[in-house]
Amino acid sequence: MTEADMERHRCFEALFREHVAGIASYCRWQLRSAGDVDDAVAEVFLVAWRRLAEVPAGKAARPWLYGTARRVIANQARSQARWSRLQGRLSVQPGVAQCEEDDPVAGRVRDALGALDPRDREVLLLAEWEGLAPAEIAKVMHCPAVTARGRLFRARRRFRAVFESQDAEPGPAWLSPVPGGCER
Amino acid sequence: MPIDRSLRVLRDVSPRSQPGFEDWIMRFDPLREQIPAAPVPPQQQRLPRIARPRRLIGLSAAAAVLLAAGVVGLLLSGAAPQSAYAAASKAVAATAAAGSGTMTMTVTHDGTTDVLDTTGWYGHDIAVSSGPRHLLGPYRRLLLVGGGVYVQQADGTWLRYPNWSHIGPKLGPAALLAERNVAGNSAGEILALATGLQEAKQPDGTTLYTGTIPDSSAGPRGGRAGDAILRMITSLRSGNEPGAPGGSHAGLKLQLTAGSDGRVQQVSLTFQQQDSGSPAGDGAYTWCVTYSQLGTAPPIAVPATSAPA
Repeated sequence: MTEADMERHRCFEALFREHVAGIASYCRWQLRSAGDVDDAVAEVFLVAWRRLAEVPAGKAARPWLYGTARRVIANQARSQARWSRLQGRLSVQPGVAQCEEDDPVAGRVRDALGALDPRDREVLLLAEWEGLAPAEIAKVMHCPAVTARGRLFRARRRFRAVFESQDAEPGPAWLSPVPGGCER
Repeated sequence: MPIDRSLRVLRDVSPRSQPGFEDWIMRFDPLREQIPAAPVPPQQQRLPRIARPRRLIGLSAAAAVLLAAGVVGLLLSGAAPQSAYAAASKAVAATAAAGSGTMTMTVTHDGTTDVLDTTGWYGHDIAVSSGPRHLLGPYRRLLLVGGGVYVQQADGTWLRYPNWSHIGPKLGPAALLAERNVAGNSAGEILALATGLQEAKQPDGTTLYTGTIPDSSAGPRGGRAGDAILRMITSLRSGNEPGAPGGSHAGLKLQLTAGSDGRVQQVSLTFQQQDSGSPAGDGAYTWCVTYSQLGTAPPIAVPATSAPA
C-alpha cells in the first residue's frame, strides 16, 4: 500500500467516524426498513470512498454526505417504486412511529409532522434532529439558502401550531424523552 | 432565543435520543473496514471531461446500488477472504490502468459462443465494435475520440456528435457502459459481489480467482441484489435479445484469471438458468470478457469522413 493509499484510508476513516451517526440517523428516519437503512448507509459511504477527492474538507463534508444520502434514498425509493408512498406517510420516521403505541407524545409529534409538506418536514427534521444550519440544509436540498430558511420558518410555525392545538395544557411529562421500546 | 416546548419535544423523540442509538450505530462499524476494500475507479478523472446526460445516471446509480448491496452482502455472508479480494481488485485496477487494450465480450450457451462486442481503448479514446446483436445495431462501431462521438450507420457512413449530451438515449447507455467497462468499474462491481473468493496459482504462472455470487447474497434482500446482478449482466451483454439469460439462477460462478504481469486476462460468470423452458439447451450461460493487447493496442483513428448528426 502506497503512502497515498494510506492517506486515503485515513481520510475515509476520519470521515466515517465523524459522520456515520448522523448519516445513519438520517437514513433511519427517512426509511422504514432496517435493511434499507443498512443499504443506504453503506452506499453513502461507498460513494464517499469512491469520490473521496470530491468530498469537501472540514465542516462542508457534512452537507455533502447528507446530500448524497438524500440522493441514495431517493434512488433507492424510486427503484422500489414507493417514493410517493414514503412521502405520504409519517412512517418515514420509524423512531417516532414505533413509539406511538407506547407514548402519546410521540403520536402527537407524528401527527404534527404529518401535517407538514414533505419538504418542509424534511427541512424541519434536518434542523431539529440532525442539527444542520439553514445554509447546510440548502446544500443538502439543492435550494437557495433563503428558501431553506423560509421552509424552516414555515415548518416550525406549522408544527408548533398543530402540536399545540392537540392539547391546550400539556403536562411536564411531555418534556421527558421517549421511553424505551423504540430500538430496532 | 428560547426554544419553545413543541420543538423541545420534537428533539426528544429524534432517533438520536432513542435508547440504544449509540449501540445501534456500532452495527455500521464493519463498513469502515469493508468499504475501503471496494475498488476505486482508477480512471475516475476521465468521466467529468464529457457532459453526461442525466438519463445515464440511472445506470451508474444501479451500479452503485449493486456495489453497495455487494458490500452489505459481504458483511452478511461471511465474504471473500480479504487477501484474495484485494489481490483480484488490484489486478482489475492494474488492467484498467493500462494505456491501451482490448476487451472482447462473449456469451457461450449450448456450445455456441457469440461475440457481443469488442471494446478497445487508447488513452481516453474508446472504440466499440458491436456483434450481430447489439444496442448499436449489428456490426456497427461507436467511437469516443477526443471528446467527440462517432457512430457508424447501417450503410457504413458515420455520424458525428460534438459530445455525449447529444447522442440520445439509445447510444448514451452504450457509451457510458463502454467507459465503465474500460475503467474497470463493471469488473470491479462484479468482483465486489463475490463471496468465498479463492485464489489459486496455476502452473502457467497465472492466478485463478473463483467465487460465487449467490442470488440471495444479501439474505432477505437478495431478490433485489439478484435483480441488480441480472440487470448488470444484461447490460454487459448489451444485446438483450430473446433467449438472453433470464429467469432464476442458482447462483453465479465467478472466475477471474490474472496473468503473471498482475493484470486480468479474463473474467467470466457462469450461471445455470433454472427455468429456461428449452429442453434442447442446457440452461447454462457463460458471460466472459477477455482482455488482450494491453499496452499494445493501436491508437483509435477518427473516420476519414463523417457527417454532423
